[in-house]
Amino acid sequence: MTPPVLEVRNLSKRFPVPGGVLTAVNDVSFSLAAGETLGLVGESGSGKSTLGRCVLRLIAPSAGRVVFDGHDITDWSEARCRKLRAGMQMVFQDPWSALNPRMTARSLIEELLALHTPLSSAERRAEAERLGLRVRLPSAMLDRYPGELSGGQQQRVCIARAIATRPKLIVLDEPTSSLDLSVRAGILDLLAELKEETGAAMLFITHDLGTLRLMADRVMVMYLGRVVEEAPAAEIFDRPAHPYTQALMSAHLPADPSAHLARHVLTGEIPSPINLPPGCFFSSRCPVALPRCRETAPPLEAVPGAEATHRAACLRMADGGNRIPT
Amino acid sequence: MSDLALAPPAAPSLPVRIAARLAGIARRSPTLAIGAAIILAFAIMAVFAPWISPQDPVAANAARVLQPPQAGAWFGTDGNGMDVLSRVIHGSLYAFGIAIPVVIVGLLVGVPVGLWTGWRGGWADEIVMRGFDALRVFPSIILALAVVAAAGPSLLNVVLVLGLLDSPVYARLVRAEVLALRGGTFVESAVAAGNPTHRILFRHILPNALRGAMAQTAVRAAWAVRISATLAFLGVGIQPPTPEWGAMIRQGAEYMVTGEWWVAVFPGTALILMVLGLNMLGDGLSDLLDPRRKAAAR
Repeated sequence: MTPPVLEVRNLSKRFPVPGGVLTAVNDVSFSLAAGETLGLVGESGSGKSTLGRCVLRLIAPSAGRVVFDGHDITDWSEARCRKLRAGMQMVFQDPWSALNPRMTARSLIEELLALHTPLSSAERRAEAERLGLRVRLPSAMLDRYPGELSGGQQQRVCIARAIATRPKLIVLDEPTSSLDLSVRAGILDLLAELKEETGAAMLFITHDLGTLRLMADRVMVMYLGRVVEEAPAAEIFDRPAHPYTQALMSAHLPADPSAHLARHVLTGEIPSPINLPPGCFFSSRCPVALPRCRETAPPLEAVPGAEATHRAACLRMADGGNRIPT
Repeated sequence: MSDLALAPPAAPSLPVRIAARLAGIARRSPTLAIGAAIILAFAIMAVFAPWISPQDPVAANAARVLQPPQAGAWFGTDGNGMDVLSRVIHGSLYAFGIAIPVVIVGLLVGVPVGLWTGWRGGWADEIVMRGFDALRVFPSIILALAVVAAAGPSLLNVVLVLGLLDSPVYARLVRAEVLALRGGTFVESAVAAGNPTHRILFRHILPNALRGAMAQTAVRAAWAVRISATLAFLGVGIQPPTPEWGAMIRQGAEYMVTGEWWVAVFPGTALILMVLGLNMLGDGLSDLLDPRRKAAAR
């Protein structure tokens, strides 16, 4: 078996804030194989984006290791990371703010080629045209500035930039959430094609479950910086084990109108990510929590009766009480 | 394209489009239009000064001392018998000759400092900014007076001193923009793309951080014209008989009490018009380039 493109071990990211420490990412471990797409899902503030930025070393992790393509880049300087950046790219949530407003789409795409390839300027021009066509941007669009492009076209420029250097890893931070619904489908189709075509591993950050079902091979659910469940995509949609995942999945409308809908509406307060309580962070909102859930943090372990690749962090799995009664 | 599509209307020629564009700007901002017109008039005057001035501005003539305005000497003559009109016309050359280099020196010093301190942050930023604050405590005229008096009253010294004194204005504006951009997504996206630091600073941040500073240039040029005239008036700047407005006003001030008003009033009017024009142009430019910062500049 080939070594994973990305391996993350016990990664934590803490930010000092007035009145304490904000733990955005809390002891997260996972690995990502070549060509695999890992969906990272969770509500706002669950640390998804912070995790994505730590993985690319756009911010420095507080603890743990990040191993990209066999290099432990955790403590590398930015200058050293720069040499690897051709191999790891990112697509940002809001394409409008992610593009330099004073560069044309063409120069934005050619920038990546100029930084990381020995191509001549004529070759760069041709390659930028090819990349533009690949993301379905006609060459006339390439001479426009970001402000003259629609949101969807801007995101296509971002995607062309991200695939320009044929990276091994692409982190996509909610790439469609700032786009209109009508545009979203086109971008998702494009990403799904590119996933097959480029063979790049993708870390797909989203809070949209429909997107996840389309894109992800494997899904990791985060809650307040911790991974609460991890499973192959089909498995997590059919048999979510953690009560939080169950609630999350119940918020997703299935395509079949005759399907039985069981809504789990959560009540209770989300603990503040500053100075987190002991125990399971979800216990304050969990319908099946026991008193001991508030004391012991549950480890991420195999879900009984499921495949070994399906793991969840819930104490109630032991007695089968993790299912929210409908 | 469909065969039924109408032929596109003939595109207006480029000069017509530029004129239409300018008319649009003038309608939106009359301040800008008036300011620009005044400055344009002075610019033409400066460029063609040797040809349009009736006399040599520094030709003394003992036979024609302190003549009142009359045909042949429309603005009268000064105490050396020099033609005031010719001197006022040539004065615009000095006004631009000081204002433009002062702005350039200010930008050349201020912009890199603002870029660097905004990007670096931390103690370096603190020290530089507190230094600027300390500089701001003194009225700029006092500082300029002291430094020019110490360095010697040449045109080059006046330009360098005023440019340096004014650089904090640009540094602050650029620094504020850099601070806002530094944490922004497109800078992060430039880092993620693998840009080296110098490219992030000069290719990505700088072009987006210049707006505020550029909008201030005309207003700062007005300041330079005003201060350099003040220095000359006080006798530490450019020295007579150079046809500089401040120096001319100083010469003329002596004659005001004895009734020879034209020696001081004409250069004074030119000075007021030029400062007014630059300020109007500057205000108009700020509104146009940088609507957010309308009220921020002092």
